[in-house]
Amino acid sequence: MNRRIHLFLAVMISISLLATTWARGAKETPKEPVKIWFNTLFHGGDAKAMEMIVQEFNKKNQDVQIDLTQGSWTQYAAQLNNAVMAGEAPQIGIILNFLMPSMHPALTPLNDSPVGDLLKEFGIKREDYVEYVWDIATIGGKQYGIPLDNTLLGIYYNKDAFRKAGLNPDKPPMTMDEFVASCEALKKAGFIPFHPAAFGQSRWYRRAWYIFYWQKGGELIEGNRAAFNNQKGLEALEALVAIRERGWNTPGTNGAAQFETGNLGMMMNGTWHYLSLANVKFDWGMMGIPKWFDKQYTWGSNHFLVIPKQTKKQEPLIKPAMKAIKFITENSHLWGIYGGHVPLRKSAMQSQELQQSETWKKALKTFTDMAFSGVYKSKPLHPKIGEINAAIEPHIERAYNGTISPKEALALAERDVNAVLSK
Amino acid sequence: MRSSVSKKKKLIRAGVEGVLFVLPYGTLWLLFLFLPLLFGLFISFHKWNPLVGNVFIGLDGYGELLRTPRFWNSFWVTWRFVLMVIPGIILVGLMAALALHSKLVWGTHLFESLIFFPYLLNVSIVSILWGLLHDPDVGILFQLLKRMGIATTPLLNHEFWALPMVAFTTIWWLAGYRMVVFRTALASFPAELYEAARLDGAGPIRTFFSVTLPLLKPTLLFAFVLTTVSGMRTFGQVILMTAGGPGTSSEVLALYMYRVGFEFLDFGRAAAVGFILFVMIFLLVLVLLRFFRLGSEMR
Repeated sequence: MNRRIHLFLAVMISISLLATTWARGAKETPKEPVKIWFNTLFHGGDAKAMEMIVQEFNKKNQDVQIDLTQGSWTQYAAQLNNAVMAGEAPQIGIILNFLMPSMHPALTPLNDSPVGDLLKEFGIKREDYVEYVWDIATIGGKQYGIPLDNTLLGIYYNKDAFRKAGLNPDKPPMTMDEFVASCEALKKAGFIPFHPAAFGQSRWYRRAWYIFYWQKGGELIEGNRAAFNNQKGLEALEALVAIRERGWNTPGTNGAAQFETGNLGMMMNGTWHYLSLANVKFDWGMMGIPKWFDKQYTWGSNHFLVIPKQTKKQEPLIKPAMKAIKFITENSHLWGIYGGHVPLRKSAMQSQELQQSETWKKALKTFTDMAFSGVYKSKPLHPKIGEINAAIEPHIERAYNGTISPKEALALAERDVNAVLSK
Repeated sequence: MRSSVSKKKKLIRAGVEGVLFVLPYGTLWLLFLFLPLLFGLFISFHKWNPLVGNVFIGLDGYGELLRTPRFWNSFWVTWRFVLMVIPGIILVGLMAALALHSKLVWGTHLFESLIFFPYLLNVSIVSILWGLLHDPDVGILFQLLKRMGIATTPLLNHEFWALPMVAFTTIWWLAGYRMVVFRTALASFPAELYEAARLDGAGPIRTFFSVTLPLLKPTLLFAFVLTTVSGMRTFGQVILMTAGGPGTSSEVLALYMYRVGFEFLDFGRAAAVGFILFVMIFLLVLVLLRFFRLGSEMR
């Protein structure tokens, strides 16, 4: 009997010891965090800003860790599309507003995902964001992305150059007459007056022409036909060509390099360029966009945070991805402060930290005012917008270079755009 | 009878051995080159987007391309580029090899290293370097040409000169490797032939055309095929130096294909461009084989 009791006790003690050890072990062994992949198209100062936000997320969330990769811009959408087809898509991606109509088949509908209504579950509401941008990602009642920001083109100007040219740096030119006078004064003072296409590639000239054309009151496409080969389009292109003809700049040059070396008076560039100017050795400002013609318009776009379509095996990663998206937009005041873009979550826009930042004072306030005062205009949300842009830009560039006349350029662009639209 | 059977056996054995030797590379070639090529051809007959469903369109994609002015522009730009690059690379490589072989150059090793060195560089480095040299704000070459009164606008932004400048960069980059190939061939030619030519009273020019050039035929064919393939498929230098511009004046077919696929998201049409490019290269190589008449010598 005694022997049996001893044996029973020994077994019980062993079990309890094992259980305690296992329990302690389970408590001490840290749980493996869920890893999600976030691939962006950012490659300038804003890439660094996104890295900071992701680091912040990783620090605050032990259960989910983001693996961030960034860099490619031109082939980003195609790569994302191919990755979805191959079943190897990242869990979070970025889509530009004008690509939403062509890219949404590759994205997970957030209110109708394979793991449920993510918007409801994570408490993400339309009214927390700028509504008209939110609606761009609503297609057929499904929500394909959460608005991150508004990027716009404005004019950065060298205040020191303005002073040397006898201009008032606190009153930059906001009309065509003032602009022409400022350019001539800068030229006289030995500066390159203006660059309309920051990095000199053809897409930048096209954007500049869009701005002039929109300010003239024109529209690019009407029905299913090109609608720009008209008097307004011609005058807009002639205004662009006049920049070269008046000797305000030379074709083939890099405006960003000219500006950063202090040789350029004014440069058209986007919100993202703020961080690149952090170390320049002169006083600069951001003036917004002048009202050159009838209506004040600038070119802009939006970034959306999206969840590309996941395979069955990847479905458990959808909710962690949504958690990260929520964090990024809730902290998008940091995106404004360090990335220079206008955040589109209302709470982030009203953040004290953002509105007291140097970025806000130097450039972001002007960009934000432009974004919400009807100045911002984006390219048409057309499924073939990439090809339409590519059909327009070589001809605009050739006109700017003086190889063909503005009239010829518009006729050729119209021919090529109509060919794209008729396919 | 017996000897013919054993001869047959030997031949079969040699054939099997040959196949076995080719098998490792052949398998890889089949898997990674031939099958993707066939798949590319298959894609080119479709409006390709597996996410919304592929649609078979037969030859419509090709028809659409042939009606697109931008396709024809890149088609002719590719030929212009190839016609500059192939003779350029072969001539520079051959002349450098001959100069080194005949010891006409002082400082042989330095000369050889200088010509060969660019080949060691990556296409991105080569293109960025030459792009910077041509830069209108900071480029030494542009400033030099400007002061000499040769160039008033940056050559890479000039509709006529942009493509020749990319071709020049390509020649600078690739001629060194062809030089090494030619030099190796020249070193392997028997000295007796040159001795005999000299005794027959042949001068250097006659010796070159009657002895060196015929012996160089297989090497020349190799160099021509290699240069044709790389010239036709040129992409990196163009996208980095001119992005196909100004306008579309330097947009080669490979860049157009990239744009159709990666910027317009039309993979079916991009595959059709790729297949047309493949056919162009294939036909050109056949012409070269015929021109050098090496078919019979190889058999």
